[in-house]
Amino acid sequence: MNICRDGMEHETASPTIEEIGKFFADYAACLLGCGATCIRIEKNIGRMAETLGVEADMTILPSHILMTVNSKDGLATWSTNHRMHHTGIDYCINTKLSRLSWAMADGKIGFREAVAEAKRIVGEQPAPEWVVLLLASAANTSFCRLFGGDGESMLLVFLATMVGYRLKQVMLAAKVDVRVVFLCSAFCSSVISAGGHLFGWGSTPEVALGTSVLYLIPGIVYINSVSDMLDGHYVCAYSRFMNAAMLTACLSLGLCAGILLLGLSL
Amino acid sequence: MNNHSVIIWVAVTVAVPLFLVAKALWQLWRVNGFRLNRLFELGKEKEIFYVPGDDYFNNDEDEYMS
Repeated sequence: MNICRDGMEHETASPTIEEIGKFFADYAACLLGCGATCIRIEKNIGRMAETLGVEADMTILPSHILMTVNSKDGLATWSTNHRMHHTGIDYCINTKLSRLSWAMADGKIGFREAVAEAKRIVGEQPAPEWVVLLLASAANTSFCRLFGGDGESMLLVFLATMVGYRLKQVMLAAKVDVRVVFLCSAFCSSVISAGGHLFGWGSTPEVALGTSVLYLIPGIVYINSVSDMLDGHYVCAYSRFMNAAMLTACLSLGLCAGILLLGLSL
Repeated sequence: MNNHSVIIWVAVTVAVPLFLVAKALWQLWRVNGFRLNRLFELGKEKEIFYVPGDDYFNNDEDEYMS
């Protein structure tokens, strides 16, 4: 596949360096925004670059991608800076975009089909809010059971998670700062689950109180931070870790505020 | 168990879900309010079935009702 910018006529199907660079930058920004690790982004881009017969170098920053694409003969180059897409962590998109890179590497689709498919994948509707709400509540209730909670505690955690998670969804949709969202959601969940302490419901009220805020823990961000650190992407690793630590601090503040306001002695 | 703790617990446990339900209902009304209004107008058959220029209402009533 010849890729040149010398003004000579080429096959209309051959992508230019500019098109490849723009696609790679957009693709990498989408992956970064939906929670992929830096090594995954590098491998996917590298795979597609090899298939297209170009060399792609990128700098992955916490909120930006600096992408440079060079032709193998060195005659053409394209650099671009792309902002990360703040789409929220979505491993479904992550998996589909990775699969797309493999499909291109295996020769199943060409460049233009890949561009169209990537656009379709990113534009897909996310999972319904109510389904996510119910499943998150059920998952947190399971956590309560795992830590030894009884039936009453599980019910309290289910209700507390449902209210807190729904509040999180509503506040995030209203573009409230994510740290304030975490603080308010943790406060609501901890107050509701403290009913076990206040009214003597169940025999494990402390488990209900402790597990009611677990749905807010940014686990994926912590894991990605460690993965980036192991791969040598220290800037991204530190950024992700600080982001996760900030959210954990806000979550803890909300929990402590709930405990202090209710005057609980643990 | 302090009184103020119970008051705060009741306030949060009642107010926050009420706010969320009210917001959901308001969004439902905002999206579907027009259709809900039309539901209330089903009893007004004349307005729904009348077509300008239609002769049904000028015909013999027995013929219309058959």
